[in-house]
Amino acid sequence: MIAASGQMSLLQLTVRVLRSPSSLLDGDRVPLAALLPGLLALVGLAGGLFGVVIGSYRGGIQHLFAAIKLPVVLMLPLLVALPAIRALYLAGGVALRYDRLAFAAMVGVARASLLAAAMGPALWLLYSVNLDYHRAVMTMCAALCVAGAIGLGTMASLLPGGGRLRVCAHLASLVVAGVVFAQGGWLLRPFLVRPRAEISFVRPIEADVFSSVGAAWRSSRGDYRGWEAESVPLWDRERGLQTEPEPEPEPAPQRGEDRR
Amino acid sequence: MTALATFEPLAWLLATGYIVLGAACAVLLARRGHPQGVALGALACWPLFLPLLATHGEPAGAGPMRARIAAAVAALHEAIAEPGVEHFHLPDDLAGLVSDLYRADARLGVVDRMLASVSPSSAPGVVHSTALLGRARAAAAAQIEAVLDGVVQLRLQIGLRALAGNSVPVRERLRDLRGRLAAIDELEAMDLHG
Repeated sequence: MIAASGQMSLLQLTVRVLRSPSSLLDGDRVPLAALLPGLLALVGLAGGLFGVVIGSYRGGIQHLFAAIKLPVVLMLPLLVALPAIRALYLAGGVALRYDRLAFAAMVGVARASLLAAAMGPALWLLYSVNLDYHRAVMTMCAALCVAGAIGLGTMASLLPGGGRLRVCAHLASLVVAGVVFAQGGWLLRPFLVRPRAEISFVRPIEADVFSSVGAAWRSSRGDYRGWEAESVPLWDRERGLQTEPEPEPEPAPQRGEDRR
Repeated sequence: MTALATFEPLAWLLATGYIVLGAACAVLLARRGHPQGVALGALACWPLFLPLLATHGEPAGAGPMRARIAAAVAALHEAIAEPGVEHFHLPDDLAGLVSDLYRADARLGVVDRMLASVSPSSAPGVVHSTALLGRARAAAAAQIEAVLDGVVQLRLQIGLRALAGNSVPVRERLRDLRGRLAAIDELEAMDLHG
C-alpha cells in the first residue's frame, strides 16, 4: 500500500475523504503537511483515471494526453484563484485562514476527482456504443458538473462558520473558480477528440471559452457563423486580427459525428 | 496523426516563473524539516503549500504524545493572539522548548517500538532489562506530562495578564520547563544494567 502520509495509507485517505472529510481536521488545527501530498496523489490518480476514460473516445495516445491534462484542469482553480477566493470570504465576514482554505479546497477537489473516477465505467460504456461527438461532450460536462457540485459542497462544509455575507462569498467564489476552470479546460483542450481530427496535446491559443459558448449558443438557434475561431495571440491582438485562418475543408462525418 | 504542442513565448515565461517559484518553495520546505513528499508536492503545486513555509516539520519517528504537544503549543499561540495580549511576545526560548519536547517524545516512540518488538521471554536478563526500560519510559513520559502541564499554566498566566495586567515571568517559566526536559536527558544516561 502506498503511504499517503506518515500514518494514513492512500486507501484510508480515500475512505475518509468520501465518508467523513471533516474527520481529517484535528480540532481547529489543519494537518496540511500530513494530508496535502496524499490528497494531491488522489487527485492525480482519480483525475487521471477519468482522463483515460475521456481519452478512450478517440483512443490511442489521447488516453495518455487526457490522463495527464485532466488532473491539471481540476487543480487549476486552486492554484490560480485561491488568494482571490480567500479575499472574497474575508470580505464576506468569514474569518478564514489560508491553510484552512487550502485544506478545504483540496479535500473538495479530491472528493470531486474520486466521484468523477467512480462515474468513469458508466461513461466508458456510453463512449463504447458509438455516441455522437456532441453528446459525448455533453455527457462529460454533466459528469464533471455533478462531481464538481459535490466537491464545492464539501469545500463549503469544511470552511469555518459565521460571516454576514457568507452566501455571497460562496456564490462569488463559485463564479471565480468556475471561470478559471472553464478557461483552463479551454486552454488545455482537446480532451475528447473528434474521430477524424488530428490528435494534439494542446491546441494553439485561439479566442476563449466565452466566444466558444457564444458560438455554441448561436448554432443552437440555427446560426452557424463564428465556429472558425480566429487566432488571437495574447500580447498582440492586432496581429491576431490580421491573420485570418484559411477555411478548412469539412471532414466527412464519421462515427456518429454531426452531419450539419 | 499526432501534432506536437506549440506554446507562445509568454506561456513559456509564465511556466518558467511558476517552476522557479515552486523550486524555491520546495527547497525552503525541505530546509525546514518537512518530509520529501511535501517538498515534491510544493514543486508542482506551491500555492497550496505556502502556509507551511511559516511552520517547521515534525521530527521523523514522532512519538505517542506528538498530537498533545502540538495542541498545547497551538493553544499557547492562540492565547497570545487573543485581544488584550497583542503586545505580548513569546521569547525565542519557546521554539527551543518545543523542539526539546518533540525530541523527548520521539525518544519515547523509539522505546515504545523497542518494547513492542521484544518477544516475551522468561530469561531473567531480558525480563530485568525490559522492566528497567519500562520504568525509564514511564519516568520520561511523566516529565513530558509535567512540561505540558507547565505550558497550560503559562497559558493561564497569560490570561491573567489580560485580565489584571500582571506581569508574567515567561522566561523564568520556560527555563523551569526546559530544566524538566533536561531531566529526561539524565535518564538517557541511566545504566540499564545498573
